[in-house]
Amino acid sequence: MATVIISAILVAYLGFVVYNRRNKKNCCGGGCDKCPKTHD
Amino acid sequence: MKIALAGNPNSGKTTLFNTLTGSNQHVGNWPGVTVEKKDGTLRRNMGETVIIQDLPGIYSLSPYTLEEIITRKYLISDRPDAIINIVDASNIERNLYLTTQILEVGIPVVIALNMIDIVQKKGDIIDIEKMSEKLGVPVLEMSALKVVGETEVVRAALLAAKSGKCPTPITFSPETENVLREISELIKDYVSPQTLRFCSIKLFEHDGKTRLELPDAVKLQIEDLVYKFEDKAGDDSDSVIINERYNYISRITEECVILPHKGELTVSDKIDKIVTSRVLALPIFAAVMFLVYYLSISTIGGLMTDWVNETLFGEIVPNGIGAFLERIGTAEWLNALILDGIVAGVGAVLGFIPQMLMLFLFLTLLEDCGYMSRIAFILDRIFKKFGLSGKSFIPILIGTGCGVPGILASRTIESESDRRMTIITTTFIPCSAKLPIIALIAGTFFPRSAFVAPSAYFIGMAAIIVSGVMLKKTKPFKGASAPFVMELPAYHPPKPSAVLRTTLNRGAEFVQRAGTIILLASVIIWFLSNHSFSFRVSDVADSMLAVIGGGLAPLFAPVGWGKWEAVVAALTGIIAKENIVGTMGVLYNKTGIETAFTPLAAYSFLLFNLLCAPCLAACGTVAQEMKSRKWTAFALGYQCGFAYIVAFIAYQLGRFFSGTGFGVGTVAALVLVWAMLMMLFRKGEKKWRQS
Repeated sequence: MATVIISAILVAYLGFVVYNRRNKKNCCGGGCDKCPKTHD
Repeated sequence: MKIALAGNPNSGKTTLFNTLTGSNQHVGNWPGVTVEKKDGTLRRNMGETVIIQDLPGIYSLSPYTLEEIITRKYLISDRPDAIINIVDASNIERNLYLTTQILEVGIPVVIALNMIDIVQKKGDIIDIEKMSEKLGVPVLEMSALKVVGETEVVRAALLAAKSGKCPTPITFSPETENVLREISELIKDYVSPQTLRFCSIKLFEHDGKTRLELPDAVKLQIEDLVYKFEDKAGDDSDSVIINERYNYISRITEECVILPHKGELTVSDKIDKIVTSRVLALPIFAAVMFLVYYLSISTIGGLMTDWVNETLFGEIVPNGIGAFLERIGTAEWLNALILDGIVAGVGAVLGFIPQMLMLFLFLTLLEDCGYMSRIAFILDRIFKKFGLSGKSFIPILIGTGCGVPGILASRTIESESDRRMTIITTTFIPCSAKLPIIALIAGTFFPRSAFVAPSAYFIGMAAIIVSGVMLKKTKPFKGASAPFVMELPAYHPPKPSAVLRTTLNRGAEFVQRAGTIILLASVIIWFLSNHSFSFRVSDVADSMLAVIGGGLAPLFAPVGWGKWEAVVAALTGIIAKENIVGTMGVLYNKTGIETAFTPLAAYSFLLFNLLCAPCLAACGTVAQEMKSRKWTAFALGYQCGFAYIVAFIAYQLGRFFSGTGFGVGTVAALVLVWAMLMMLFRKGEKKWRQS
C-alpha cells in the first residue's frame, strides 16, 4: 500500500513538473520575458 | 490606465518599476538590463487599476538599436495615458535630451528627477519649480533606490493622464520652425494631430525609420523643403535639431541647476583613477574575480559545502528517508529510486548551495557597489584593441547569472554581425548552473589548488576574446566595432537588504530547479541506468544508459574521458547544466566520483562542459535571437567544436607536460594550437582574401 501511495505522489509531482515546463512556467530566474508569467 | 516609464539607460526605471509593482525584475547598473517592455500592476491603491510599463532605456527617439525601436514604437503607436520620464538628476544635461523628444510625442508627461539623493550629497541644487515652469510639465524629486518620492510621482502622472493635457514641445529657431510648419501642413491629413509635431520633426531630420504612408508628391515636397533649408543653413537638418536641443537644455540647466563643486573630483572619481587606470585596471579586475571565485568555492563556501555534501546529503537525509521508507514498508525498487536516484541526484546538486550563495553574494555586492560597470569599461579597452565592441561585454556580465537574459541583452548591439558574435560567445562565461560542475571538479580533484575554480571564469573570458578575434577576421563577422557609450554610476555602499534579497532570490531559483527539472532528470537517469533496452532490471554496465553512452564514449577518448558515465553526464547537461552533477551523483553513488577521472581528465571534462552548447533554454533563446536555423546551427556547432578543441589541447598537452608521453595526440594538439594562433594573428578577412 505504501509503495502505491508514494509512487502515486511521485508520479503526480513529476507530471506537475513536466506540465509546468511544457507551459514554460518554470523560469530560469533571469528576468527575461520568455515566459507568460505575470509580474504582479 | 497605462503609465509608461521612459528614460535613459541606467536611470533607475526598473528599480522604480519594482517598487511600484512589487515585481522582482533584474536591476543592474549598466545599460541593456531591460531589453523588452514589461508590464505590472500598481501595488498601491489609487482608486483604479493602473498598469505600469517599464520600457527599455534609450538615449533618444531616433532609434538605432532594437530596444530603442521597441520604446519608440510603443510610445508612438500604442500610446500610454501618461509617461513618467525618469531623469538621472546627477547627469541632468544629457538625460534632458530625451526629455525634449518625449515632450513632442503628444502624451501627458511627468518628469521624475531620480537619484536626487546623490545630487544632494554632492551639494548640487536643482530648482524644481523653475524647471517645471520652463519645461511646462510637473517635475518631481525622487530616489527610486531609497524609495523616496515615488508615490508623488505616480500621483502626478495619474493627474496628468486624467487631465489629458499634453506638454508644449520646445520651440526651435524661427528658420527651423518655418520649415516644420510647412511640413506639418503637408502631412496633417496623414497623421493624427497628437503625433503631427513629432512626425514633422522626424521627417525634417531624414529619419528613415518614420514609416508614414505619404504620397510620393508630398515626400518630394518635404525633401525639397529640407534640402533648401540645409543649403541655407550649411548643415544637416538633423545636426541643426540636435544643436538646438542642446542649446535649449543648456539654457534650462543654466537657470535651474547650481553646481557649487563643478570640476572637483568626487570620491568615485578618485577611486576610478586607480580602479580604471590603464596600468592597474586589469590586475585589480583579475585579483577581484580570483578572490570572488576562490572565496566562494575554495574557502568559505567550500567549508560549508563539505558539511552539506558529506553530512547532510551524505548521512542525515539518506539515513532519515531510508529509515522512513523501511518503516512504512515500501518496495525495494522504490527505495532504490528514491535513495539512489532522487536523493543522490538532487542532493548532489543541492550540496553546492553554500558555494552558490557565496558566489551570488559576492557578484551582487560587486554589481551593487558599481564595480561591475567598471569591468565593462575596462574590458571595452581590451575588446576595442581586437576590433570588438565593449557592448558585447554587457550580455556577458548578465550571463554570469543565467545565459538566457545574457543572450537577450545582445539586442543592445546595433551591428548584426557583432550581435551574432555576442550571442555565440556569451554563454562561454560560467553561468550559475555551471558553478556546481566547477565546484565539484575543483573540490574533488584539486582540493589544494586555489586556481582551478577561478580559472573557469578566466578561461570563459579568454574563450570569448579568442573566439571574438577569430570570428571577427572571417567574412560574416568583419566590420568596425560599434562605439560603446556607458555611464559609470557613482560608487555607493551596497544596500544590505537589496543584496540579501537578490542573493536569496537567486538561491531560491537554484533550489527550485533542483526540486523540479533536476529531480525529473535524476529519476530518468536512475531508470535508464538500472534497466536494459528490454525494460528489465539490469546491471549498470548493461543498462540503456551504458549502451547509449558507450556508443559515444570513443568520441571523447581523445579528450581524456571516454567513459560512458562521463559522456552521459555531459549529455544530460543539455537539459540543464546542473544535471551534470546530478547525473554524476546517481551514477557514482556507490563508487564515489573520485574514481571517475584522473585530475587531468577531470579538468578537460570541466573545460568541455564550460564551453560547449548551453542548456536547452539558452539554446532556444539563441534560436529565437538568431532568427535563422543556419545561424543557430552554426552557433551551437561552433560552441561544441570550440569546447572539444580546447579540452583536447588541454588534455593532450597536459599529458605531455606531466611526462605521460608524446604521441599522435600531442602532435594534433600542437597543430591545433598553431592553427588557433594563426587565426588570431593573421590579417583581417579583406587582406586575407587579397593575398
